[in-house]
Amino acid sequence: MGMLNVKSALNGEQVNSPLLQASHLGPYKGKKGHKEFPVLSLTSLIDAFSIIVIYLLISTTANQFEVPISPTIVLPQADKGDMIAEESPIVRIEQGKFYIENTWIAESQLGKRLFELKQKLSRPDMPIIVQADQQTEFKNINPLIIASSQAGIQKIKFAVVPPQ
Amino acid sequence: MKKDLNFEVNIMPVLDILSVMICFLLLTAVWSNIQTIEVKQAVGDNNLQTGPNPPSIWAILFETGKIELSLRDLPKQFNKFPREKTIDAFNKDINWAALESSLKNLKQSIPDLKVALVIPKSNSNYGSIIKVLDQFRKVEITDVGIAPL
Repeated sequence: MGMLNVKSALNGEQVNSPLLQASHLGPYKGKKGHKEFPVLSLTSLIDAFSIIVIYLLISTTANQFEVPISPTIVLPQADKGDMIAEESPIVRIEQGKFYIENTWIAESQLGKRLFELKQKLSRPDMPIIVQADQQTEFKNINPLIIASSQAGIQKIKFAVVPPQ
Repeated sequence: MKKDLNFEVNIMPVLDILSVMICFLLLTAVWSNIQTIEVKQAVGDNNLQTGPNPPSIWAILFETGKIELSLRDLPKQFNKFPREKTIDAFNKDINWAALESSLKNLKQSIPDLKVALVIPKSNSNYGSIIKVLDQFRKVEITDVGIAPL
């Protein structure tokens, strides 16, 4: 009994509770007359914030891997692309040069390096993700297709973006 | 007289944390989703497969925008079906509307058609090749490959 009547920090919080003050939108009745002022309902604000946080958390982590793209590359567009479900080595073709995981590789070494990578990762069905600018001519992509066949890579995934 | 103990959590710090989380997630969110178009390439042991080849369609892309479609390994009931079709260029580009309708018609006539081979020329545009692959996938021709030069 006595403990409940003690002036505690909890009591102070109770008196000055923002929730209590802000949980409704109604007229404030003073001693001399009617003064009305709107109060923002914090409860609904928290609801909205929580929904936004949950949406952002889900949408940024839903079965996707983050794939870095070079700022100089404009990927081609496609309607029926697949989401990237597994992490795979990225081969970038930029101005006729080949980069495996951001390391420049000479065209003649491409097949050998892809084969080594496949052995290293112990994945016989390893796919590769190819990033190239949409204006690239096929003659610049052709060495990679030949090299991947030589390395025994059956699946080539061309990186695309959905139409804006 | 016993006073009611009305316990309430202070929600101001909760609001602060939520605001910081929203700012952080907005800043770190990746807004451009990268997708992939998968092609299946032939490798050394493909000739070990036995049995008849499945029906397939080959698409030869020319620099001018012209496309030649040719059907291979069709079942006997399609003996009278036209095997070749040429789609002429439109404004120095591929006639995408004509290609789409041709592929739709072919798929309707031959539902078992699931294999395609795209044969580009050396100067073929990579964006156009991807768009052709995408057209095949739209009509459920999903086993697509690209022929090297």
